[in-house]
Amino acid sequence: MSNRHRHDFSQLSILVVDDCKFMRMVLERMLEALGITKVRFAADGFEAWDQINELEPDVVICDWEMQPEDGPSFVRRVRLDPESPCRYVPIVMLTGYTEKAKVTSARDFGITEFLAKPVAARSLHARLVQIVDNPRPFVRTATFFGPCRRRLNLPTYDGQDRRGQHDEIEI
Amino acid sequence: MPKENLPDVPAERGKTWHQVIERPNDLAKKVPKTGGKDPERAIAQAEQIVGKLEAEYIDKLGQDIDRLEAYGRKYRDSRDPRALDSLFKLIHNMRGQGSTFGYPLITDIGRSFCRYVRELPEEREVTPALIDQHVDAMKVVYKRSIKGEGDEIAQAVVEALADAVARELSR
Repeated sequence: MSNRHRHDFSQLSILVVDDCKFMRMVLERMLEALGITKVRFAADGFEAWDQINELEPDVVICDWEMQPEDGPSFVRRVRLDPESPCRYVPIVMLTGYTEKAKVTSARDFGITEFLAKPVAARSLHARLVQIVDNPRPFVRTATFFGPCRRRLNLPTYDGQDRRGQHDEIEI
Repeated sequence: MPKENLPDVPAERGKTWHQVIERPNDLAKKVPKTGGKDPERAIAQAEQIVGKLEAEYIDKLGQDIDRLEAYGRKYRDSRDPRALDSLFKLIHNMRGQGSTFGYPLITDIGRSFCRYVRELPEEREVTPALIDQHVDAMKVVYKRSIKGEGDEIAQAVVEALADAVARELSR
């Protein structure tokens, strides 16, 4: 069990992308309590793009609804733009959207983990441990590039939990 | 780190062509499984911090409700889609924060409103009265500081809103 370990997150850098100042502050304090102090912020996708070019974070936590550039557009750029400085960076989509259609589309534009708001410290910790201990391979097809979609932690998924296994990809 | 190109897709490929890209787990080197905080204590500390932010959240909730009322008035008077857009985005954010700070009724009311706006067919106009009912319900939660699931009356109000939305959508 991952929780038996005492992961030392002190060297991990995280970029938080959220248009709500209050939410940014909440996440900063939560991450700090979990031992993560290298945290930077952006209020939308355009700001985040500047930040990743400067910082190259180890993990990005990204909201969905933002202006002028929203989360989905930013994630697509990170994965697909020829100039992306870190197309393989793990991206946690943190959003109030939990409807199946939204979650599925988030999976299809290349997020690594999905975390539903309201955010709970335990879930946030679990996602970070998952990213570090059990990274997902990337998959390239004619129409997709991103983390293997068969291992995404979907809130709507109620089948068998096979996250720990490395299943062979079926396209 | 040098930029990594997007893997090419071969011009001559079968329908099932795909490439699985396994990468070295650099994050595991950066985040050792020992030497960090005890996860249970770190999570408890993070939750405690969220608890301390509650007072700030309450202030913000009051300000957000004032803004909702202003957007609602503007929409009622002008039917300006930008006012509705601002209203939706604000409620969407509020919905994401409510449960984090112990006010799940704000999340429930927000969810009801977001469902209404998202599922209403494009050719139909959002009803100002239904906006008012949702904003008024949030105001009651705020003014009476109704934490948790609230009493039977609070539950009945949330259910009545969800019913009103269902009726409106099925018209």
